[in-house]
Amino acid sequence: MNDDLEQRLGRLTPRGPRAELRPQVLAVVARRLQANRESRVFRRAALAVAVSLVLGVGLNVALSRASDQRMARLLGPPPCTSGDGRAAYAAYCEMLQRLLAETQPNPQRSKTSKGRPDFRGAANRALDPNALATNPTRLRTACPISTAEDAEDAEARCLLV
Amino acid sequence: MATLQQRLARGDPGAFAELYDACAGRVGHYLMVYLGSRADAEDALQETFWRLARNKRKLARVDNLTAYVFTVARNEAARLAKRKTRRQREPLPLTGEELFCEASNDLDAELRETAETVAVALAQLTAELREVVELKTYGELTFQQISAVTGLPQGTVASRYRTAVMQMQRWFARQPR
Repeated sequence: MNDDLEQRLGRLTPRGPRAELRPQVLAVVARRLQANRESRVFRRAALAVAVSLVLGVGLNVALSRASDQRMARLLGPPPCTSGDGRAAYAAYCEMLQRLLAETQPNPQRSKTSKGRPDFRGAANRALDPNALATNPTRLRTACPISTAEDAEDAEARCLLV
Repeated sequence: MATLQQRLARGDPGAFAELYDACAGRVGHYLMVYLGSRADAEDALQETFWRLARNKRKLARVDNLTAYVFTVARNEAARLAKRKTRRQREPLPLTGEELFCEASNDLDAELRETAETVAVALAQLTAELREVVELKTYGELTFQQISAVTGLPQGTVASRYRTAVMQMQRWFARQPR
């Protein structure tokens, strides 16, 4: 009975799609394949752009490093960093304290012989090493330096005074 | 020499023409039964081949090309059916003339009648049973391939096919000779 039905069904030829559909479908497929090829070309171009961009950035970094090294060879080491500045500042303050301790003002000569206030004496009092050592804020105000160069400048100024 | 699948994966248009000639008839008929409309079936067939061309690289790794084409066609049909059901009601059942070449055969009246009765018998089945009968009989797929296409276990496919055949036999037995 099963075979009978299967035979009955099998005797019939299924009607497929219209013959005109074949060129339409194949044209759609060809367009899609063409688009695939174009998108592949576009993807390769995009990849080339990305690679050249990365390469450009890398070369730029390498060149700037090489240039820095050349400049260092020609002009000496680069300016000190903030850490170096702090160390120089501390060394300077120490030196300043030593200098001030050696040139301690005479308390009896607080006024000049003509009765005018002694500004030099006031300045010395402002830079009293004991007061500076115990008050870091005052010390910082008295010695506004942050780099080694500032420290050198300040030292030079101090020596002139 | 490269196999059809390798040529398809390379994007050879001739390979797609070969694939169309090998499967389009069966796939088109299946889509017609699935969607209940010749126009929709042709749309879905076109979409199927478009999708195959878009994902051509996958075709090189496919185990069973025929089953894969039917699977893609089924997915396209399901997508189209979902879009259609939002807009309109269930389609009318297909006539024998739409489904079988013999229905328009003026020389063999018996074959013409068989085509008409088989079309009606198929319309009596539920969509799930009709799909299995269609894939087995006119799609010429094995139970294993039908299982791969529908995602159902092979035992379920076989039992659905048996149920469908029994229902159709009963229906034929009830028909006056």
